[in-house]
Amino acid sequence: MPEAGDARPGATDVLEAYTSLVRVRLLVILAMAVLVIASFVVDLATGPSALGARDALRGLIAPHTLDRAAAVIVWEVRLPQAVMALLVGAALSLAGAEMQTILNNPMASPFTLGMSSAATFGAALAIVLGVGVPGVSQTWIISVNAFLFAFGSVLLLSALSRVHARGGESIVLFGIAMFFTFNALVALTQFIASEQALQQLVFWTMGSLTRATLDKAFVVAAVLALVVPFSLLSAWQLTALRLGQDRALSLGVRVSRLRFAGLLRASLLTGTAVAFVGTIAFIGLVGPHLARLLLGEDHRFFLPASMLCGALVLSVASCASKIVVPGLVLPIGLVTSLIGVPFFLVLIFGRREPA
Amino acid sequence: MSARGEALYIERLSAGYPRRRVIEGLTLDPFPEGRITALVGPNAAGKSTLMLALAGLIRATGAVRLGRRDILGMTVAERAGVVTFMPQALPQGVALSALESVMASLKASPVTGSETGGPRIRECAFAALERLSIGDIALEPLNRLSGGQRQLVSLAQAVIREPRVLLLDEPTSALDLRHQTQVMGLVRTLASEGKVVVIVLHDLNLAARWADHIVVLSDGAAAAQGDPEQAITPGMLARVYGVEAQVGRSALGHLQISVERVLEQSVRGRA
Repeated sequence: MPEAGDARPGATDVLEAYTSLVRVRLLVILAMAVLVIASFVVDLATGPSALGARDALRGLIAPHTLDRAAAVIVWEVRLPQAVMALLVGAALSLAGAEMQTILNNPMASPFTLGMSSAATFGAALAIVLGVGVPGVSQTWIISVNAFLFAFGSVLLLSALSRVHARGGESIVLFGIAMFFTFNALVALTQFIASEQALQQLVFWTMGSLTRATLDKAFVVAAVLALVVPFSLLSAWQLTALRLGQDRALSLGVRVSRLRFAGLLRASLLTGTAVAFVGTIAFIGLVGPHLARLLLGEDHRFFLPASMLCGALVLSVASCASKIVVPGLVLPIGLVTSLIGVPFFLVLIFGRREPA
Repeated sequence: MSARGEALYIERLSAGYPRRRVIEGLTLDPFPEGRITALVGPNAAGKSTLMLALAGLIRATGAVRLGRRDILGMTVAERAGVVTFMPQALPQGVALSALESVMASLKASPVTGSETGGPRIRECAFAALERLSIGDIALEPLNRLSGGQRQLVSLAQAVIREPRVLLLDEPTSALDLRHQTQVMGLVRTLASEGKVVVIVLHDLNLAARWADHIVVLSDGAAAAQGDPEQAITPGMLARVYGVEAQVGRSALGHLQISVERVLEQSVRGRA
């Protein structure tokens, strides 16, 4: 606190400084968007086939210049995967950002609270036992099962958040319990699975973009388009919730409704993303934390920045999965885990509260 | 009391937590408008529970009225238009600047959210910080402020919406003497603007110096209430706090409590 003699900044100085801070934040968001586009282009240009960057990009702009094989590589392999990386990264990261605020816990994310495990169990039921929603075609049965289980797990969490209106912590513990329960159930299905089903399931649990198609990417995009406006409309309420539940309530924020709606959005995003690409760990954790470090927690900036960070990290991971071992595409879930685990540890051990 | 005469009435109030009722059938003298009412009492006397019940944050039965308006029956949004509550502490590790946190208090509220847009909200938020002489930390992140500075920012978040009833839960607990006096001076100004101010204080000297009306709570019931001279007596201090104390006056005429010693249980019972 300054002494009486200090020159105190006037209203104009502070408000101008704040205006330029807002401008800087918008520039940071713009810069992130540029990086996302750059990573997308690199993602398109890399792959185990010999198709180079220039040919791949030319094929996108003028498809008729490519031969049949090259056109398939560009339009049916690389483009769906690159688009899916961006969309899934943005979806998981936005889900993580909202969950961290709503549950007041920096460790909350779709992966750590068991939604991904629930989705995996849903997929396992389809792969190993052939159990699925009647009438769903074989192409979609695994995705639909995974979605329903992820969605259901979050609905359970949401219901609990209504019952325990004052307990973000108990919800987190319940999520961790779900994580272990579903992992055990997945292990059980693995135990009884045939060799062929086991192979398919293990591959699914590693998380992979190779199953992406433009149709599936469109579904993820549609869910994002549906959810994002509602998230952004809640930005101020979510920011106020960071000041504590009692204060938010006292301001007139209907906290239980905000929490329920946020978890519902997170479940839609996670369920859809996981359904198509399997378990992709840590994006929902890393994305929001990067965004928070860069821009703080004013949710008007934090939510869009989280989406961009998630998209960027998953897109870079997608590039890495193709580059690390030449000629081979690693499952992207493995790559994000390898990036994510050290990050997670830094987060746990690096948390210091200032005096 | 001012011309509107809208005192805060608390009648037959029962409140507590799922398996623990803390307050049972509590009726108090009205808390007058334009005055500071201090809630004092030993630890676990029910001060914070009463505060949370008045703020509508825990389930309560009975009647809490501002004039004729029933506060307990209001929705969250309706109550926010009348009552503002300042909790004891701001959560730690929040990456928001002081200015943004006050802006969020305005914008998130259904009462004021739509009225204030663009540059106006920044000006209002900064003015609230300036009122507490903390304009210089407006752009500092909350997680880099000291406990006392956070408390002042928290107060700015509470007062910015100009509530009719202001509930403050130990707003001075982390503050040095100068800032305590400054905050209580501001609370006095807010009261004189016609608000009902209810404040939980642990420091009896601070309560005696600033409050117009004091409620001494003990085991969820009112052990004494009235103006400071009526409420704070050696008998009350022995009975409620279990201490032998003298109540005198400072050179400036303010009530002053000096504690001599802790009373034995038996003496306390007789006092």
